[in-house]
Amino acid sequence: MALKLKSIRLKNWKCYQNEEIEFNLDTQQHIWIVFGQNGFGKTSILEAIQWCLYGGDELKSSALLDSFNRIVLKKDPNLELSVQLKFDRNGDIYDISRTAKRVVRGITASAQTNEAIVQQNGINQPYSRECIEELLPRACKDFFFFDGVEIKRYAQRLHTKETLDAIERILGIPELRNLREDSGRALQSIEKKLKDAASINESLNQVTSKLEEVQEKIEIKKEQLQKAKEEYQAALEIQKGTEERASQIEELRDKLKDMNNLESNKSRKQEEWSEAKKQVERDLEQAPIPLLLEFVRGVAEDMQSTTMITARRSGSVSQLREILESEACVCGRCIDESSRIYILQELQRLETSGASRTKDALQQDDLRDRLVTLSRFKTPDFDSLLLRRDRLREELDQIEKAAYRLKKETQGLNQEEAEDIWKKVGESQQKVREHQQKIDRLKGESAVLLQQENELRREMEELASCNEETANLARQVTLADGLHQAAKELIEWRITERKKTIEEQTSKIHRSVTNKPEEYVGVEIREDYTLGIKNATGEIINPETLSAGEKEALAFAFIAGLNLESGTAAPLIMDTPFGHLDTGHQRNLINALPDLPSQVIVLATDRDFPDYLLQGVRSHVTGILKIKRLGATEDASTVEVAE
Amino acid sequence: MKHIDPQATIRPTPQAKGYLDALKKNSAFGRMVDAYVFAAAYALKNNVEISPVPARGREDLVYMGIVDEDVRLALEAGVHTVLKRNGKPEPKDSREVLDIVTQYAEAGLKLLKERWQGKTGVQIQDDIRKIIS
Repeated sequence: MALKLKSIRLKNWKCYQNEEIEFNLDTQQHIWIVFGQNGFGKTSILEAIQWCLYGGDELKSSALLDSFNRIVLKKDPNLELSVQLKFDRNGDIYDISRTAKRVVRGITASAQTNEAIVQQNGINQPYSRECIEELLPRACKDFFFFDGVEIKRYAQRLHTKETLDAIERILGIPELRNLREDSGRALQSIEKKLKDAASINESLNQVTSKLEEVQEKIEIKKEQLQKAKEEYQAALEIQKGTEERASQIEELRDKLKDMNNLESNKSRKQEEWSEAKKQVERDLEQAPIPLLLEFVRGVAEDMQSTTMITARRSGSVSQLREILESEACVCGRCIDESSRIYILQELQRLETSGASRTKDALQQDDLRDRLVTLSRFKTPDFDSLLLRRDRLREELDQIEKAAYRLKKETQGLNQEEAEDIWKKVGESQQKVREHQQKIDRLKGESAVLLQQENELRREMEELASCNEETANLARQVTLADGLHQAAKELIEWRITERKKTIEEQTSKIHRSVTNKPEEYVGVEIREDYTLGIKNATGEIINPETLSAGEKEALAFAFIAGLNLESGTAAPLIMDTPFGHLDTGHQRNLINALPDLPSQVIVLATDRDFPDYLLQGVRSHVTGILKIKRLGATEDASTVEVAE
Repeated sequence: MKHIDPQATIRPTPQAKGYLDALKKNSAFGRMVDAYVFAAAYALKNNVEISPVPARGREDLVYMGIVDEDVRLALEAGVHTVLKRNGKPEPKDSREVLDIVTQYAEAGLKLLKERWQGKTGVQIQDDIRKIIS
């Protein structure tokens, strides 16, 4: 992937009016030395390269105004300048050119920089900046194009954020960081989606649960509906039956009235017949009396005569006592006292002995009275009684027959039922209506539930699809997390690995450039890309403690190391890098140049490359160019091949 | 004239009881006792030859008290008269009166059973009408 500068063409660029510098790449050597005295245009070459590549980012418009060749500018105030670089990368030719035009409006002049034009193998590339950035990242330009002053600055700013970024850029860390951050963001994004999906999943569970509830309710409603339909059918049957019955009853209503009359007549006759029957029974209880009346009368007459004798006797005793107790004499022949007493005693005796007889007599009288009364017993009129009873029975039989006939005709209908039937019809119709309403209500509820079911099903399907998405997201999370972790690990590995190799490269170069290769055995690159120098005892020496030359040697080693590790193997274009160094470091640095795998173009003064040092690396030098100034009034330089 | 004790129990023979039951069932009489005393009156009226009723197998029917008072009196008068006519001694007590009534009832029932053979309750009642008129 070595990128090599094949030629530089400068037109109206500073001191170069129209100059082309070619670097022969058809050799094994890769070092070019362009000699030029101070002010001859070495730095102009370096600046031309950087402006061509990075345009306004590298050189502001105001500064660019000073880049127009002053002599030509006098002829053409609206001068156009251009720089054209030709690179070779593994056989592919990249032609990068940029132009700028000086524009004068009134007394004000400005420089208009055009976009660089990049051609790869003669074909214009649409995105010149990206193309250039890919070839020689601007962030790393300081590792490709630098001068002695720059090295000094490097030596001083190794700890700056800018340097750190640049180093990481060299190492490709930003891309990895971007990958890590992108994967992190992607992970967060997917996790958020997953979280949302998880909540959707929870919603899905809720919806599923709701759906099950609704389905259960639907089943219950179905059963209820089925039952209600059956009940409705039964109620309908009852209603039909009741209405038919009512219709029949309507037709039989007259007969029913007749039957009711018969029933009441029958009831009345029944009572009469029952009473007549009881009367017969009562009369039959006394039926023996007529048969015995003859005896009753006989006994009664016998007792009648006995009673009369007793009564007469009682009356005589009573009269005699009244005469004896009376003061008056009715006959004029009063009895003496002894006779009176005797008679009274006799009466007393008679009364005493007759007392019991009197009691019996009373009973006999009572019996006689009863017998006398009984003897007058009037035999019931059995003829009429039985006749009436039998007539009633016949009437009752006739009524019963008629009633039976009517009952058959009215099919067992009765008045109560007839009165009740329309009420029953109304009730049965009401029942049917109620069942119908119940069915309608259940159907309505079922419809609502079915709608709910459909909605829930749709919702569930949506959520289920989200659920699939959840699974995908979960997989994506796993992948993103894996990628994120991998990016982190890659970054760590990359940093570790690259640091290690940079350390190795830097240490190697540093040992070759330092004056104390025995003492400074290696360079350590810390996490923050600050450097430390390992000494022979294993201690890490802080670069701050180094001398200025040592610092620059360390910076060179590090820059060269980074360049080697950049993967682009971009040309190192060094402007007067060694002139201010001590001879030891100067020699060491120059002697290290052949070991660098990149193309090295050294813009040098005689002091940078004293002859004795040049001879040391001469065999590695492809060509030596020399910048010459043209006439004193021409303000122009030209580059010639010296050797 | 000796009276029947109302507290005394009428105790017909099983044969008599069976027929009394039939007479009740065919509604000829409302009560069995009414048929029994009617049979006694019928026998007295016709001066039927009586014989002692064996005590064996006889069942209690009812107290004599449930029989109409006039009917009882008429029966007492009938027994008194028939015994007197037949030259038989006056019963010594109410129990003997009841025995004689029972003998007449049993004898009369036999006659009536023959008379009412094959008759319905109504026909029997009609015959009673004829008997008493």
